[in-house]
Amino acid sequence: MGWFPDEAAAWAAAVDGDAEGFAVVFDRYLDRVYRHALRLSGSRHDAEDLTAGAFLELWRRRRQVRMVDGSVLPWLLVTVTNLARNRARGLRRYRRLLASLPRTESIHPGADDILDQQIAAGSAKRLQQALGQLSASQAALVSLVSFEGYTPAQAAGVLGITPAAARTRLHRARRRIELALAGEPTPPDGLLPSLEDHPT
Amino acid sequence: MTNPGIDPTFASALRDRLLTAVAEPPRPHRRLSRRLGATASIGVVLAGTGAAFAAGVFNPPGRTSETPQGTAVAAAHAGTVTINLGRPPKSANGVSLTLTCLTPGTFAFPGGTLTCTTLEMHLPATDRQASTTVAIPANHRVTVHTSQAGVWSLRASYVQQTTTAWGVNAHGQTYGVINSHGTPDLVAVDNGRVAGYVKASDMACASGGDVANPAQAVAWDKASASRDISIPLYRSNGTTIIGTFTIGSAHGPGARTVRLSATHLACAQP
Repeated sequence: MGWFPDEAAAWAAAVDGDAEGFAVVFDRYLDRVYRHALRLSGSRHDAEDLTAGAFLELWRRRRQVRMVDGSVLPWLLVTVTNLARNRARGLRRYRRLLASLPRTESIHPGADDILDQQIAAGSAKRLQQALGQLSASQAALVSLVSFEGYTPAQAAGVLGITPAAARTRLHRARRRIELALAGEPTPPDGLLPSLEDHPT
Repeated sequence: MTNPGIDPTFASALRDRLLTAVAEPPRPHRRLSRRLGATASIGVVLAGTGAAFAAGVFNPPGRTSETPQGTAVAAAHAGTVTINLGRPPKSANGVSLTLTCLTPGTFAFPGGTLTCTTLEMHLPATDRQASTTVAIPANHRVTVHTSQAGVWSLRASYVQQTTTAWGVNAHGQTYGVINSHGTPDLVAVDNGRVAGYVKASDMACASGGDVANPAQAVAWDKASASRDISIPLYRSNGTTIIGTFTIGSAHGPGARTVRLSATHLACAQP
């Protein structure tokens, strides 16, 4: 097994065709990416597809990946979010590959249903619907900051926007999600208060 | 609620596929020109910028059309095999070849090399192909070179290629597409928004054509990683500018596009 001083070195080696470098990134973030996908999709099968899609995209678009603080994780999480928003389109190029990957048979009939119910109990379904009402950049911001613990400034780095813009969009996105989870109609962005309107 | 982990069977298979793909060598060629004698370097430059001089509604002079002659030969084999195409019809002046990889590997055939990775085996056949048209081989045979484990299929048909003449504008400049006769003074391109012509000299310069020694080549590669070069896009008269055409594949945070005239390339000076 090769040794890499940090993730940036492992990723640089991976881009140059070093499988061990890619393995470091894959092993480090597989669970994080899967948990995020599960939260967004509410289904184990879909979450597996989204996870696979994110790592396959990571390799396909390896020369465009934007690292934040020496890590590709934010890029992976944003990619999962984007794929989840339009799953059929985003995963189309991998449809055959995903179908060919083996999966463990459910030991007990209906096990997936029970799992889905558990996930639904955690509001995943409603959250998924709420996220679906956000723009792509808002959904990515919420995913990174609210779910994964990144600061707005770090998330801004991933999305290529200013920290101030990230904070404003995040505030609006959170408000939109609150309304959606409460079952209330969500007005257009222009009618939602911004951080500047209500400084905290 | 306990957050369940990913299915280990699925994760393991995914990991294997990805690592296999990472370790495989990059493919040297993908799509090959369908024109006799077209230079690979120009094709790569244009393909890399998302342009297509043979595309769609734009119909510049100098294009080559193909008409099948006789019956096509289609065969699937493993390893290196030579295929006899039979005697060509008198009207034929080329052979159209489409090679499809059926297993991962590298496959060399007249006109180029096709490399397919494990991941690509799940793509439709049209995404695992290389097509080209070559001159009729003297012995009427085509050989595909690969390892013993490499499985492939080849479709070959004799064709008649006809090429229209380039246009000539009021300044005596030829314009049209690059073809077996060479490169016109004004080369047809499409920048995705508008189709027109770029000066062949501008295109050569912006593509690194002025590199004179290895040191300059290294410097060019370094500069190209973060810089694309835009050149003027003209009507066929060679004087009316209707847009710009960008050459290069710069990427990353510092990527930018500069005008050819703003570079310090010797060939960019009037």
